[in-house]
Amino acid sequence: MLSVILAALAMGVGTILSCAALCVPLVMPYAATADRPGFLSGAAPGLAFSTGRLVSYVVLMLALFFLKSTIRENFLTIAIVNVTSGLVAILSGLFILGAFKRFPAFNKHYCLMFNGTRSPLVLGLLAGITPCAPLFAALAFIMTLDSLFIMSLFMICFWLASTLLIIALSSMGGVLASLLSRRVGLERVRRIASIAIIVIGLVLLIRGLSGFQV
Amino acid sequence: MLSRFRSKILALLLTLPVAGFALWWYSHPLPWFGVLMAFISGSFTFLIINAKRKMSLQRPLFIGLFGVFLGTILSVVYIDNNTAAFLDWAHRHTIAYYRIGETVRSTVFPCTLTLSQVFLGRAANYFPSTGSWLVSFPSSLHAFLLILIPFTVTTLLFGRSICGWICPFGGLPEAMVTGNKSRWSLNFLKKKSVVEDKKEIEGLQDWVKDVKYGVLLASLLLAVSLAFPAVCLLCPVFWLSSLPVFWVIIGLMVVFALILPFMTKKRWWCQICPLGALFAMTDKISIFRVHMDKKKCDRCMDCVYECRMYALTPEGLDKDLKPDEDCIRCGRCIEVCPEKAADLYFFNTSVKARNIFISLTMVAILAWYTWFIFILLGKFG
Repeated sequence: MLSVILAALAMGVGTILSCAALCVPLVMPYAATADRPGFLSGAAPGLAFSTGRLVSYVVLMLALFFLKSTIRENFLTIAIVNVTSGLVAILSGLFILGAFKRFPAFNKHYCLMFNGTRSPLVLGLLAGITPCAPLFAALAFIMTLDSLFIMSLFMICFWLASTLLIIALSSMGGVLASLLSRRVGLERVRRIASIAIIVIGLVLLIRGLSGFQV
Repeated sequence: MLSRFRSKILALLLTLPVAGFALWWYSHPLPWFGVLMAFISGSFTFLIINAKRKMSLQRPLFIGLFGVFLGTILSVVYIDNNTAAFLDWAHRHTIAYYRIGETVRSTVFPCTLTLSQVFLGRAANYFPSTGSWLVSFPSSLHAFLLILIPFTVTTLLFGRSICGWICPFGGLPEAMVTGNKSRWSLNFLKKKSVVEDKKEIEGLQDWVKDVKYGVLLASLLLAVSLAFPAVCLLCPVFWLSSLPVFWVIIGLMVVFALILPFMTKKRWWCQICPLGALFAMTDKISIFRVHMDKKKCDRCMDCVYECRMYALTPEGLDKDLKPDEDCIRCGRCIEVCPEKAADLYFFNTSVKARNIFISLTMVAILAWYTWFIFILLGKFG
């Protein structure tokens, strides 16, 4: 069991350079959009995003356990995940920017759907099913395990190790936003962060639509 | 008579360093070309410093620089007859200035791969085939300093005036801003304020001003995630490397550098440029600054109407008589002011610096455009 835990932790830490590099930019601007940015409020979107990833990992693991076959994610799935993530990020950025104030009905509807940490949660769910080399390696490893308990333990350890950096950097983003807001104003920090979210969403959207030529 | 003579002598004194620099910089390997460039740049500097309306010469210069840039790209793409050849060529000449088929001693122009070793984004490269990461730093301290020093010096010395005088992209929106009649009001992007004599002044809403900072933040974050140098976003080599990127960039340019400047008579491209945001952040420490003389300024707001960057606002004038960080030191406000209240100064002093600024700008243009000029010379010479 110890070897499984160690392997999971090592694989999770291994995601820091690749997966975390993809996830952190998506989470960092959210850390800056809190009403009172700081260490804890910065950690919240990171935690929500990671929770979303955990749910996806569990779904993938259960699918593996019950179907007993390798999950093959085709090109279309990746494109759809990217387009959806892009749309969520764009809408979320526009919402924080206050673009929907003129449309109260839509504003209220969106508020119920993605307010607070819900957007990072949805993005985490989508990121969790986006294939990357370390995730494939982890899935290949759990294929060799028999018990659902050991598989779950492996997946949780893998998730924990890969989540540490995201939450740490997200908290740092919150602290940075707090420092910046004292200098340039909270409203401005929120505005710039929301524009960054929109731009990142646009890039994800274009990547998805263009078949990853960007 | 005496003052005119003195101003001519001053103009000559400021012209000589420019001509001297051009002679030294361009004479290798073709001495005649150094003499030619010294004559052209020297004459132009003398004329622009002596001109009553400097804008009348600055504008064609600025548009001409865009012409040189565009001509270079098109000549390489079309003479070699395909974009792949251009990409090959660009990757082969990433270190040094290109001088008619040879690399030379000066490593100043920031090319993609050299830059990527310095700037964020390629500090680590991921190789999917082996699943490994290769951490790369500048190949040598020499290369690092030769790239970083010119960048830093230019940015610190000129700040956002790079956007108004040196940037190869700025010439396109500048060329499109012709005439005075604005055809589109774009009210949803603007805030209006009424000044003393009931004049209505239009400024940009705060969020529009912050778009470039958002784009900069996103570029830096994406640079980390995609292992891609953010500065390459503004490189034609990157644009031509992928068809979707090419069309996205063309779309942005058509909207922000062609249509909007033509319809509104303002420079919108500079409102979304991440590099412009970076330069704007150095405004607080920039050497050359525009401000108005408190005694002379009569709040006519002519400068506010004339400013193509929305950098001057009635609130800004009331507060500290100077434009905000988006000022590109184009000098339009200086020339339109009927009371001669606006000018370019060293820091916040009362020492006028416009002529020295122009002279230094000419040197910077000569240095930064060498790459383009020698490619053109190589293709057509």
